Amino acid sequence: MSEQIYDLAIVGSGPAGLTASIYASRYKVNHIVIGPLPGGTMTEAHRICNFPSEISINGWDLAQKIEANAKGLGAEMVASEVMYISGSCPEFSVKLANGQIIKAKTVLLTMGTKRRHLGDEKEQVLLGKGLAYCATCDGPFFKDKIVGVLGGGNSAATAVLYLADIAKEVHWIYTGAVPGSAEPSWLEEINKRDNIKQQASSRVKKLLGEDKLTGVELEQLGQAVDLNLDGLFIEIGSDPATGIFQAMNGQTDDRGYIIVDGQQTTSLPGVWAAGDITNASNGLRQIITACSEGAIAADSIFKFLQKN
Amino acid sequence: MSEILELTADNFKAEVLDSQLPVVVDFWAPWCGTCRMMAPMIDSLASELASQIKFVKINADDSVNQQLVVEYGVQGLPAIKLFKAGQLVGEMNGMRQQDSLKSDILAKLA
Repeated sequence: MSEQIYDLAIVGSGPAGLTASIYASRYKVNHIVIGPLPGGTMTEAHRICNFPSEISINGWDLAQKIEANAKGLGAEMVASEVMYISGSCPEFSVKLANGQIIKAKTVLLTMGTKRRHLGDEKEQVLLGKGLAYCATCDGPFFKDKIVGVLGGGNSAATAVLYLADIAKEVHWIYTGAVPGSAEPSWLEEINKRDNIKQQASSRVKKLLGEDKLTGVELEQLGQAVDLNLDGLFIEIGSDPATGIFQAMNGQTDDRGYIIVDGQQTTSLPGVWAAGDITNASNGLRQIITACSEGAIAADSIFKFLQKN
Repeated sequence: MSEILELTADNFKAEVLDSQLPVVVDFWAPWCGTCRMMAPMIDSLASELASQIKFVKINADDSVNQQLVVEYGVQGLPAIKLFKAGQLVGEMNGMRQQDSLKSDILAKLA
């Protein structure tokens, strides 16, 4: 096992981690990027229309471009989850799921968020049997079928639009009277589509079907309504993946996001955080803000390493 | 990436249904991020269990494999199907960690 001590270990390989790597490479900061999937959650985005250099691109393709840029500048990457981080600045030990231990002077946490699950008792049984969490991954299996999308935000809205091109009918299920947290541009597109039915003021009471999803029981304005579906896509938001940081006794806000300052530093010396996992960027949590935070963090770490 | 044998509908019977060893069939697609995340785990298990269990992959996105996708009810990726003596004896869907993947495979196929 190598006894090398990196200047920086970047935990997470989404847009924040990869952008930090790009900056770190250009600053000649000796670093390693650790993450199970280059691009992270953005790889599941079906259409991105607000990244400045792209008129319209899917998340997988944009992730590949950013990864190629980071690798082209010499990024060393390891495909693994991190189990825990021990030690303190200037010698952290990062234990990987593959058993490897990485030693680094500083750490940047960019693990992003993890999807919320429905919490229904049949969720595990029906996963892959009509129940899905990723429209771009599993949508093609529902050609000409009837599907539902649960959730009222942007990820739900884009899943609805993506599935409307594949499925015969898409039921968009959300709790409010209107899908309050989706961008007006997506709503405008959705309202033009005849095969999208909006199930407002609805929550899923239970999943129907034994070994295969057959539908959902909705509670709709106090009434129980059965909706027959071949597939249901869960898009009900996400929570910060801060388990490692909390185990280090780092400070998070009341929603669990890592508290950072303007330099992306955390409450722990030698530990920075960037991207969807933090409370920065006014909570916007977009690819562009993750990239921005990653760049700021790398710059801040570079300056710290110069002084220390 | 993986050196696991990539099957198509043409050699599925010979490599899976007629196999002397139990078989783990990993349905995947090039655009499936979770499949990409799980690939190193499956590669590692394939090496570790090579003497007991055969591991193969099928690209669910390839049109020549659509009959297999429908026949085995694949509606999400990754979908792992476990075969023993030509019979489907178990399945796993979605992201798994290496420990639970290994113990579930061994429980059904060992």
